[in-house]
Amino acid sequence: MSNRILLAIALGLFCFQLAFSLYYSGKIVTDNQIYTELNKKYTNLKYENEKLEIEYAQKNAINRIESF
Amino acid sequence: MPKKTPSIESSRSKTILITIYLCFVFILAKLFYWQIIKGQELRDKATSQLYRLETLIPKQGHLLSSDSFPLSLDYTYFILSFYKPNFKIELPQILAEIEKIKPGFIIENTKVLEIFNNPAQKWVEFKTEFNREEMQALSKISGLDFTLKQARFYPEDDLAKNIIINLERYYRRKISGRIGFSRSIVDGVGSNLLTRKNWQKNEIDGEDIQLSLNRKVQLLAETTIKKSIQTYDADSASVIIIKPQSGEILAMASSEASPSALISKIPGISDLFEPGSIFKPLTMASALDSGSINGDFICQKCNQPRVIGKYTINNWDEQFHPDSTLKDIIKNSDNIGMSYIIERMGQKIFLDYFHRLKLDQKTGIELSGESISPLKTYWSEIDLATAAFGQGFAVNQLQMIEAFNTLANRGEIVTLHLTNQKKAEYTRVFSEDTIQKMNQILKYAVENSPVSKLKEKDLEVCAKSGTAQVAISGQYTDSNTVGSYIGYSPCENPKYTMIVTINNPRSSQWGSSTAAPVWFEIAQNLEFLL
Repeated sequence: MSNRILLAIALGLFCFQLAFSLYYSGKIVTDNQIYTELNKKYTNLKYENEKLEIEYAQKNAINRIESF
Repeated sequence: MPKKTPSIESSRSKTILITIYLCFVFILAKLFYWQIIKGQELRDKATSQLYRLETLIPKQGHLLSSDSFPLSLDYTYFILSFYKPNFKIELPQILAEIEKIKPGFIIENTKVLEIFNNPAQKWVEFKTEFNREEMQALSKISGLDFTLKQARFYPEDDLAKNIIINLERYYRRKISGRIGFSRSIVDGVGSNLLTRKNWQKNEIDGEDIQLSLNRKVQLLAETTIKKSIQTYDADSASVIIIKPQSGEILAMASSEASPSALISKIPGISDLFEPGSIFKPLTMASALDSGSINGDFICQKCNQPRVIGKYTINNWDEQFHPDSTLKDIIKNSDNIGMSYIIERMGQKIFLDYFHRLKLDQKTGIELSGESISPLKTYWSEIDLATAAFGQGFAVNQLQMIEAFNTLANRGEIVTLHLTNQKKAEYTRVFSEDTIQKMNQILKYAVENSPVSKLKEKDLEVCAKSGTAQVAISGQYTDSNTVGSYIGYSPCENPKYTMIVTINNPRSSQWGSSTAAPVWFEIAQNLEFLL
């Protein structure tokens, strides 16, 4: 009887570890993909922001206006 | 079939065993070689492939004008380099692809490409700037590498350029921010992996700095002062405009006939000059405030030149004005009258006010390169007499306007500043009663002198002109002068205080006919901008 209990516990732990590993490895991969995507998005937005700032500044600069 | 003898069998098995042993020893030796001898090198190589160390470049802070418009911005671009061993297609094909995206690339880089055609030349870098889209389109071609570069972009081109560059140096640490580092594990394609072994020290972006400079006023000041150099055939000219109550610098412009090679030089703080007659109102205010003279002072000895030792004090036009009142002394810019006023005050009181007006110390403006002249330790009678009309000592333009602004700011000296990083400090120098008297005197002087023709009728101005001779080799010369005009408008609750100096004007040496017209030209336009 006690052997069966031990075997059941061992099998239970094995299954738990398997499920745990599968779940979290999947989560890590998904998180990693999200992180990479967000990082790419952040970089693109950073450049977009820089571009817009320059466009705004060029459009509203007054130095080239000859008279008031 | 003959039977194999046991000795032959044992020798065969021995051979096999020895071979196995030898193989084992060989494997051990190889393992020893890779793991012990080459171990560290391989570990380092593996770490460098597994980990990526990145420098995180912070965003630099901007300098903003008074209307929060960016006067300096960051600008990112990419530089292209070729690495021949990584080429998978021929160079002409690569160049054709680049030319499609960046027309004119080949013509722009003919010389570099000629060098690259040499078979020994494996790597080359080009000067052409690529934007991010162009870089992304070309980075798929094997053998092409792009390096990220950052530069500063000034939207207003050369407007206040010397001030901006000087300020960027002054606030370098605040504007630059702090570089960050990231060490992360990468996968086979070089993408970052999220693991606990990653380490990151974030970059800290630079701070934005708000300036008090008003773009429109600065442009007006720069264009007018540049024009004045040609109009008066002068060596250089400078103007500073400030807000009297807060000490904020609204504009600071200068122009030189032969521009200085030093781009960050600001003549308003680096060049010293003898203030001349524009100093007279300060001497008079000090005398009134200290009680050395009162408002009904009359100069009874102003009917002739004043002789002190071997020196003779005369007026600029060699005219004499007997029984001059304080108003007349300022209106006529009477050197003789001023020498009697300072005599009443005495050296000790004069130097006390000189110190309280901060004319013997740096203004502490947030710019590098401010010069001051050490004050003389021994004052003779003639030294004191000439100091009354601003001769015998030198100040920079900013020191002069800071001191004069005390009259505009109801008797309180306010520290001048260009940025929101510095707070104004107020110290009382003259009483309100003295200021009231001085306002009446200065207003009278403007209304009743030839400069009144320069101003529009409804423009109320309290100002004074000055012409200072420049000492060359210890001797004053008439040929080299500094014409200046300083004042504020209106006299009560002024909107601005302004100083204009014209160095060595050849068309006329007088401040009233060179600096004053420039002052009024700017003042007329300032009415619409402030």
